[in-house]
This record gives sequence, structure tokens and C-alpha cells, in this order.
Amino acid sequence: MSIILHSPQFRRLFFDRNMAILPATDVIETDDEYLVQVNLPGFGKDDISIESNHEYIKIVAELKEETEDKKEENGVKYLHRERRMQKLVRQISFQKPIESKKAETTFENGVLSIKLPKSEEAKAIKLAIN
Amino acid sequence: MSLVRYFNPNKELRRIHRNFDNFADNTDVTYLAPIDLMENEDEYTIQVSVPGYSKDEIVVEADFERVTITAEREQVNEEENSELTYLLKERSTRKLSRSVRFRKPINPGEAKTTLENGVLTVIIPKSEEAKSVNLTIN
Repeated sequence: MSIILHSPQFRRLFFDRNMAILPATDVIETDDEYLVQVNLPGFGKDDISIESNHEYIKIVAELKEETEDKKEENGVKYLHRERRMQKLVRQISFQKPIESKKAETTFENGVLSIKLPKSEEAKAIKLAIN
Repeated sequence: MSLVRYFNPNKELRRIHRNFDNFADNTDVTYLAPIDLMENEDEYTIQVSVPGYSKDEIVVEADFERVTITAEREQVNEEENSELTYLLKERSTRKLSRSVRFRKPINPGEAKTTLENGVLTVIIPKSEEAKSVNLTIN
């Protein structure tokens, strides 16, 4: 149910268009790390800020200038508009502590990928019996 | 290793949800990519959000009145990399497609396309016959 409630399609139905919209996100867990992938089409590297500590990551993408208004001044008329998004925000909390300082981020084709290694203390070790 | 599988509601729910997703993924459904459509005197501009697709995975077809954009990539079979656990899966991997029909005839031969940051921009000039001319009175 939570997956439905947090889906961007559901949100778009009930929330104001000018509010921050949740971008579609994948979170994959492996033994050693978390991989977060966020769809941010139309945003550049400089529009995205990522904030993180040992348990959460917050991604904010915001277009700085109102490019749409500029276009309209130059005699361009919008016939149809679906892609309006000024600000996208997503925050993800992890069950296991992460080492955010060792995170690797890439941005390609409008998809932000963040690799977050789990911290050493989160890994299980074998205890010896004396 | 025991043969008894204990009922784990959380796991079962996740499995049901994954099966639903797989079902939807496997059906031959295309999804509409969100677009912006703009017009000025000489040309039409289409912007389509296709995050995650590279140049080679996008096909743009155009004739005198219609432009069709299709983005498709090979499906990654989840069952094969069973080491990966999806905690959240919202990004669609299905085929995206969008077709736009214009009121005025267009000149597809001179269309320009660019792909930047997951947004495909197609600029298509209107054809000469669509432009209005001033007639002189003899």
C-alpha cells in the first residue's frame, strides 16, 4: 500500500502542482551497499543537491530560472503541457547505517544514481567462543 | 536446512507485489511519456521526458503531419540477479511511446533532435505551404 501511496502518479492526483513532486525512485539493496536511482529528467547536474548522514539521504532538484516564462516572451506558444516540474524532493531512510562519505554519484540521461556503502558496523561478523 | 517454510507476511506481500509488477511488465503495454508541445511562427517544438534512455534506444519517426517517439530498452530479468533486493521500485522499465499530430503540415526532413539530461527535444519546421503569404492586388 505504501508503494501506491508514494507513487508519483498517486501524488499528482492529490497534490498541488506547484508543490514539490516526488520523483520516481528505485532502491536496491545488496550485501554491501544500497543503490538509489532517481528519475530527474530535464535537470542539470548543478540543479541537484544531495544531503546525507548515516541513516538517510535527501535529494532536491530545483530549476533555478523560470525558463518557461522566457520562452513565452519570445513568441513561443504552449499548445500542450505535461512536463512542468519546478522542484522535486525525495528523502529515503535506510534500515542499516550507511557511510555517506564514501557515496558515489553519477548522473546520466536524466537519471541520478547513488551508491551508498553500508557502514562496517552494519555488517555481521562471526564471533569466536573462547 | 529445514524443509519447513515459516510464513513471513512481509515477504509474502512483497512477493505478491512483485508478481503484480512482473505481470504488468510482461504485458505488451506502452506507456505515454509526458510531453510539452510548443509552437512559434516557423516551427513546432516537442519536449519528451525519457529519463534513463540513451540515444540508441530512442526512435523518432515523422511524416508530413505526425511525429512518433518511441523509447524501448531490453528488460533486465530480475529473477536472474537474485542478489539484488528491490526495496522500492517505481521507475518504469516499460516501453514509452508518444505520437503527436499537428494541425499544420510539417517538414520532417529538416527536423532537429537533441537529447539532454533525459529530455528529448524535437524541433520541426512548418512546411512552406503552411505559412501565410501576402497577396498583392493587381
